[in-house]
Amino acid sequence: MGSDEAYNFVFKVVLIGESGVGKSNLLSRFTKNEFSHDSRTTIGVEFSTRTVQLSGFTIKAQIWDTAGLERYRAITSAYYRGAVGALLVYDITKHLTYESVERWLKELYDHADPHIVVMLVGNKTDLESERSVPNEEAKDYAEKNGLLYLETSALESTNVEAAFNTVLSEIHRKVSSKEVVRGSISAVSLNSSSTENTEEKRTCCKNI
Amino acid sequence: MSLADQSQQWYPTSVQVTVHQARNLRPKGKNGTNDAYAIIQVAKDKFSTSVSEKCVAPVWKEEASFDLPLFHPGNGDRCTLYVIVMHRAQVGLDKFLGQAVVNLLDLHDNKSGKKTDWFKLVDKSGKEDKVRGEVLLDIQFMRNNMSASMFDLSMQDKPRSRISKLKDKVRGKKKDGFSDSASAIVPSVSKGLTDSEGEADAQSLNQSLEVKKKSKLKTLFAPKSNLQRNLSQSMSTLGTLPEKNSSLSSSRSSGLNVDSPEVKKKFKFLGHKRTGSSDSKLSQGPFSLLGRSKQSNSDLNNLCINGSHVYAEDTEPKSGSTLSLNSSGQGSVEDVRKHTSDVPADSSFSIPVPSYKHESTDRATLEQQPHQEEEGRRQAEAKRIAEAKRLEEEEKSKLEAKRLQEEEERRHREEQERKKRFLEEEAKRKKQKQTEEEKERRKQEEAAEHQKLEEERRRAEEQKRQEEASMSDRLTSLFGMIRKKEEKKEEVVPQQAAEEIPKTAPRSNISHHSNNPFDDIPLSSDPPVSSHESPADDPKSSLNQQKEKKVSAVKPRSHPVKPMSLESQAPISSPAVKEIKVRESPPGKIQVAHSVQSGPYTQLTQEELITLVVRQQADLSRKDSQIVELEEYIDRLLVRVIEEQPSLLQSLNASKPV
Repeated sequence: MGSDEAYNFVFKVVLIGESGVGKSNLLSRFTKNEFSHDSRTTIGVEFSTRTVQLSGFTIKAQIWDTAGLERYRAITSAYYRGAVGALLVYDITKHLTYESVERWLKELYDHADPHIVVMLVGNKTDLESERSVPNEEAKDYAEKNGLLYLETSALESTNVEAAFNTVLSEIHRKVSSKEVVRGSISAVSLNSSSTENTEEKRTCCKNI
Repeated sequence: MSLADQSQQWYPTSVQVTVHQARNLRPKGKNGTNDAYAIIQVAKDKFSTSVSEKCVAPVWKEEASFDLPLFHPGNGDRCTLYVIVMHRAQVGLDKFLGQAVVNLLDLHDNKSGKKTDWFKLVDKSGKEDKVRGEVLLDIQFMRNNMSASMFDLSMQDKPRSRISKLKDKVRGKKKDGFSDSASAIVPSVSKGLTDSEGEADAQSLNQSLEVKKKSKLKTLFAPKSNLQRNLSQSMSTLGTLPEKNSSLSSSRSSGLNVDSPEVKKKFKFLGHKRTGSSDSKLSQGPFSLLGRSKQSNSDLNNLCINGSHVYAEDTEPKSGSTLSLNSSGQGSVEDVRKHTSDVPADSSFSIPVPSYKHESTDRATLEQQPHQEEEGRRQAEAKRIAEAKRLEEEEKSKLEAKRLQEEEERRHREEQERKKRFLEEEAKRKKQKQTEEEKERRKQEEAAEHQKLEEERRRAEEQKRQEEASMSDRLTSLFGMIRKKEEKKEEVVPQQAAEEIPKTAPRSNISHHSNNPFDDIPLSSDPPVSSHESPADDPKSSLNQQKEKKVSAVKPRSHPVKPMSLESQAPISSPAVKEIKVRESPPGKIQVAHSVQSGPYTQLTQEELITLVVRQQADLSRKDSQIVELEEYIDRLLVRVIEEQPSLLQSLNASKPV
């Protein structure tokens, strides 16, 4: 809508995590406020956008979703490229999905900007009775690894907005301060150019 | 025996032993009883009675006849009768209960020709260790086809001295020409044999072998043979029938090493000492017998008779030739058995003597031609001998001789008639048996062939199956293969089932039939032997029997050895049995495998499934690879889209919520 015209920043945020943890539903909840009970495994790659207002800035969130990547794909690097934020999602009822967080982090840092804002998201809090991953454990792990942390429920729409907004605001904070801008896009070393790049990108995004 | 005192004057040619019963046996079986049987043995000839089950005092009443070659003290081994009583053990070796050892020479010397008595059983070494019981034996000495009494009668009027005189004469002559007559005999023997029995030889396989041997001998003694022939001719002139010389000389020699008892008496070491003269006399024996039968003329005299008795007597290879063994006209074991078993009535008139059987077998085997010829010769011989004797007698007492002759003739005629009748009967029986045996054999052979064919078929099938299996393993042309297999197996099943039935049926038949010939014969029920024989042997054994019969016709000596030979056959034929068994087992295996295969077709479906799975796996992997390719392609496209036009990837309904 009009947001397309009136945003200052476009932030690319990627959803990662094991298959079936609820990435697509988080996305749909955030971007369309929808939840599908019988959602299928995501095929291919797609993204959704939502424009949010943060601190007087209009920020367009471009959130990419793909299938839980269990193998190396040609798109991996392309998928991570330009991402300034990432939500690493696991299922609080499935410990395995939590155990594989480390692997996802590694892949993320292999392909994405090292200053990327990463939030560890424990989804499906609506299934609290089936929880197998204690809140504290994940929180500790997140703190240790410099990750944001939230527990959400796409089904109940709990903390979904908060999670995205937290990430976006953190990105914005980083962008606003010069270091964030540096880290968010391009290369860390190119401070000035990185700012330009964000500008360019913004314009680019604007164009789209 | 009215003539018991004369027993010294003749030597038996055979002995008939009847094992009536035993008593006071040591119980070795269950409940203090025995499953007892007796083995009757003289020299190497053995017979066994049937097993009398669960008894303390077994009664067998079975008899066996043995030839008594070389019946003189120097040959004690061959003149000892052993009756060994055994307990048939269910498991393991049969147990020895005791044996009666009878010195036939002593027995013969001490008593008359016939005696029935209890004999004590002793241990294996012949010692009387403990009470083992007794066995009731009837031992009857016999002389060829005449019972002792008959012989004695004939002998009564003929003083031995005359015979010996003649012998001396001949011997003297011979000695002039030939010191070593034993060896000298051989060539003429061989000649005679080949001449007189040549036709017969042609008919029997076994004999041809012997003929070979003979020919060898012939060549060995070739130089002498001429001399010998001359000699024999000269002797024949002695015999006063010069016109028949040529035939005589040859035929006479076929009389071989047959020793007249008188000769034996005179020369105990006949084996080596026998001279041409004795030879010539002996040789008369066999022919005179028949000759008399056909030509019971006035020229027949006692000497002839003696000769005839002599005929069968000596079976020992005195001349050194193995061939000579057979000419003695000893009945084959079979013959004896048949005789004793089939014609128990005959035994009462007590002439179960081999020599007839010899002839009967001859007839049975249709070797009548040679026989007729032989008969002719014998007639001639007989004539000649008779003439000679008559001449001699005429010198002394013509009248007496004539009277005796007539008596003798009458007797002989009677006997001859009896013989003839018996022979005919025997021949008939033999023929019947032969035909039966033939039938059996044919049946068996057919069965065997059938089996073989089946076997081959089965093997072929198995091979096919194996090939198919290997093929299927390769998984080439999967479904077609499997279907083929199915079809084949289905074919095989009914076939085998059908085959199985006839197979077993002939089997049982065989066993049944094969036992029959022996069942008739009590003596032959010899358990050890029969147990050795498995039904499957019978085609062979019956064949052998036939062969032996043929042989026996000419060389009856081979028969007494029969019990042994039968046993020796067992191992020969047993391989065949094994083969059959072995052959049979594979089919069984096949069937088992088969049932597994064909039953619920599990194996088939398994194979099918496997093949299917494999195929699907192949398909899957192919598809996977295709999918991977597609994914990679999509990825590449996505990458390009992400890099160049990411907006294309925006979710379609993204505009809605936004």
